[in-house]
Amino acid sequence: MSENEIKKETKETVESEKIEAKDSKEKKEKTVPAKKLPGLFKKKYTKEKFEKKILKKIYIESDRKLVESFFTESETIKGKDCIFVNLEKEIAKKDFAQLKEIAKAIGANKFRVKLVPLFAVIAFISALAIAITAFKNPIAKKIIKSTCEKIFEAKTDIKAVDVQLLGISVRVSGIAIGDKDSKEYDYKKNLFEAEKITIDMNFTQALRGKAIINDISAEGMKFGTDRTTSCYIPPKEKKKAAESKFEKELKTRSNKAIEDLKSQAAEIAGGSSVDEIVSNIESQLKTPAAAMKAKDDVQKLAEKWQTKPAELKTQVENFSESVKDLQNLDVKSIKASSDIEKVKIAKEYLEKINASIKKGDELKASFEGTAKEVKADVKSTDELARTVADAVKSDKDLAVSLIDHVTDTVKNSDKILGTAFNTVGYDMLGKYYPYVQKGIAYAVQMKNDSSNSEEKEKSESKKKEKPSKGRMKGTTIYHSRQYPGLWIKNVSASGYTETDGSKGFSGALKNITNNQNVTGLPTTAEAKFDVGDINHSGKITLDVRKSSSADLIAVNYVGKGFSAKVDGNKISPVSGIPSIDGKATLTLNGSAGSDGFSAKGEVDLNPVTLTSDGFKNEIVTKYYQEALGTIKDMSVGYSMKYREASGLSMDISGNFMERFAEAFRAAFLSAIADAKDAAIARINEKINSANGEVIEKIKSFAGIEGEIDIQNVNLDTVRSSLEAKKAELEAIAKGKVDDAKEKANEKAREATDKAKGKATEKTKEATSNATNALKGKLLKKN
Amino acid sequence: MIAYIAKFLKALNANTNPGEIAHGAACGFLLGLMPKDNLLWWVVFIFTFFVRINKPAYFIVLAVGSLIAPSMDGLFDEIGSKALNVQSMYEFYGFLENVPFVAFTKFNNTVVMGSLISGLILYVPVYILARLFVSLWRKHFVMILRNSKIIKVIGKIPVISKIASLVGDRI
Repeated sequence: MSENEIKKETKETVESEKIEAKDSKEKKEKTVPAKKLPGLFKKKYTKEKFEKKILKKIYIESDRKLVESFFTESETIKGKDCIFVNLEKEIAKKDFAQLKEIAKAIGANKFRVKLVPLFAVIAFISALAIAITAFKNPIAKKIIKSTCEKIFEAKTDIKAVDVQLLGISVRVSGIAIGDKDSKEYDYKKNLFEAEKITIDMNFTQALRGKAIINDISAEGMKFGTDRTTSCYIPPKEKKKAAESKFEKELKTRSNKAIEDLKSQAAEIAGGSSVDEIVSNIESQLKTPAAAMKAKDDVQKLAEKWQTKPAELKTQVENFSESVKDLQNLDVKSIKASSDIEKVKIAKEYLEKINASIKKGDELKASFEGTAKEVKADVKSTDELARTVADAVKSDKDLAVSLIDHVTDTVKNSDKILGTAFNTVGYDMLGKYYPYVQKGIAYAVQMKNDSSNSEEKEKSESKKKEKPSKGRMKGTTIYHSRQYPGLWIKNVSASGYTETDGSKGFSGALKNITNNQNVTGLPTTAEAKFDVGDINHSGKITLDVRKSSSADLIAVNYVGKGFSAKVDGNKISPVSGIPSIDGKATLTLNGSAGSDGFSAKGEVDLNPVTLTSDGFKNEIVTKYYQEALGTIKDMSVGYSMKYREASGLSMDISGNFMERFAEAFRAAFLSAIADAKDAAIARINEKINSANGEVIEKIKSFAGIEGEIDIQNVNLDTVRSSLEAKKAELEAIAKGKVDDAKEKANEKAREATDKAKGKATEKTKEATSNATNALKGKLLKKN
Repeated sequence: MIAYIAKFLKALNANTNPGEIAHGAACGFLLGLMPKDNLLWWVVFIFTFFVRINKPAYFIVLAVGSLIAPSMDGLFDEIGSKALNVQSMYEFYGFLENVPFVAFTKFNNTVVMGSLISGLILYVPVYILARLFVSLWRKHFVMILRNSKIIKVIGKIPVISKIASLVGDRI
């Protein structure tokens, strides 16, 4: 055999051996004892049960037949025919595996619902619910406590919290919130405490992230109670806001009001005491200056002519002495031996007399020259007297007019107090405006947010409603009312404002929400409460609905028993700003919007005490304070309006202005009347005393003129007598002695009488004119 | 998904209760039609864990249903809109909206409601069809496949046999 043939033969041998092995293998198929069958097939079944428990749960015909083929044994047990598998048999492994699968499948055909997992889940959920139920109260207590401490910046004590999850209601018992401002009590004072606070929320909406609170009530609230432990929590720093436009304008107007008040007070003429009036008016008098000048001028003139009358008198006496013999010459008794000698003697005397007469004429001329000068100076004194008289008249008129002006000023006194109260109003407005501003800003923000919320919700709903990728978003149809994110339907509170429970309060807030457009209702707050002696009653309506035309904020408030304490000195000292101390009933009706606010109302002060440190002028202060003191009650009406476009306007009205004006006027006028008379009398006295000196001087000067005139007259007398003598001597010269003497004597007498009379008249006239010029009109005026 | 298909085939060829397979298919179809971003879907989904249904059939039909559902959204929207606008049901719907957690089901969304209604209406037909399919399969195809060399070969592929063994006989 060739190698190939050997190989081929070997190969064939191997293959045949393989086939034989396979055959033997097949012949020796593995079997499994029937005892190893699943328990399901080792049991004995009646035919019905076999059908029910096994065959019905086999859905494949071949499998059914397979199983049936193994249940070949039968036996009668307890009168019933049962079939079963012969456990002594050996089962082919393949069949065994199949039977095992079938048994598994039959075992899996159990009750539709998996009770064990179901119960396990139920148990888990129950355990969770129990855990939540057990721990919800402590957790809620912690949350509430930390929230309160954050808001009120003071420690909070809570006795118990009871939370009901289904329907969410929270009941807080024994809550006490500390007062962060109770430093003087070592922080051992409560801002308030309450016996019970209940919150009832809409659970369904809460699950949607909306806080819909059906009711919040607080019972047994008390304020300012004591704590056993300190409530201090270190505060956080706050930023100071920049001054707003309104605050700037308020400051400007307040300052202006103060300045107006000061200037009004200053406009009242200085003083009303006699001395003050006189001293204030005296500086404006012209008479003293005019009188002083006149006095000086007249003094000079008097000094100029003072010695003249004596001079003239000496001259006249000397002249008279020099012609005495001639004057005493008895012409009839001239002894002469003859008529011719008599004529000769007479002619000699005649020459002497002519010489004397000539001398007399010269003297006369000199006297007349002097008289002329004196007259001229007298004229100038008349001018001075007229000047002084004019000054006196002017000053009298001035005094009266100034005092009358003071009286007129009192008529406008109501403006003073009105301006003063305006200043008080501005000051109080400035103090409380920040809170008003915050409230308005919050309300405006709410209105803007409610306007934008619809768009926001639409955009959010667009996002939220987008289901799985590629799916249509569909339309969400709501069958119940829509709710905003926050809606507190009703909040009520009652309690006591006194720790002994003597005074109480009640209040209700309705429809607090962040979106009034959805609720369709404005937010209202009503409250009545007593704090100390003050009774408050008010209502606030906040309407931020887009469709509403009502005011954004409307406020009605009545507060009785306020302690009205305003320290005018603190606002501005010595400016007439009154300090107020009394009890006030305050009414306020106001509204506010995005462009500003307006408010009007009344402050009824009864009783009230008004005091003031007054003004710089003590007398005005005196009457101002007197007038303020007469006011025991008053009502001050106020109205204020602020708009961005038009700015701030504030008006104070009420009966207080009239009351004050009446009181002020009465007080002032009664004093001013006396002061006025006394002042006029004093001024007259001053004027008169000034004039008196001038009159004296003029009088003395008039006396000088008179004296000069008298000397003139005396000279004329001497000359007249010389003329008479001359006439006699001429008569003798001409042979007519007696007639000439008689005529000369008569002529001399006439001339003398005439001259005397003229001199007396002149003296009187001069004195009278000077006096009348100064006194006559004054006397008439008085 | 391959595992589910394998297991589904295994279930078809085994003595798995045809009702389980049919319910699985019907539940899967119901959930497949519904949008998945609402509590209602998850409630039904979680519910199926507590009932004996064939999970492979369930997930396969769910996947198939999810694929065809978007094309039927228009129909669902119409059906849902009509259902939600029934006046006599307004009060009931309003009540449901105010019941805690029910609102999360988004039952008041037209597509959700429409798909739910459609799925519930089609549940029985799908069940019947699935049951019929299983019955016919087992009647005519099981033995052929069991004895099919191809199936045996596929079953012996390591990946498939491993997946099948990992998943187990039954979920």
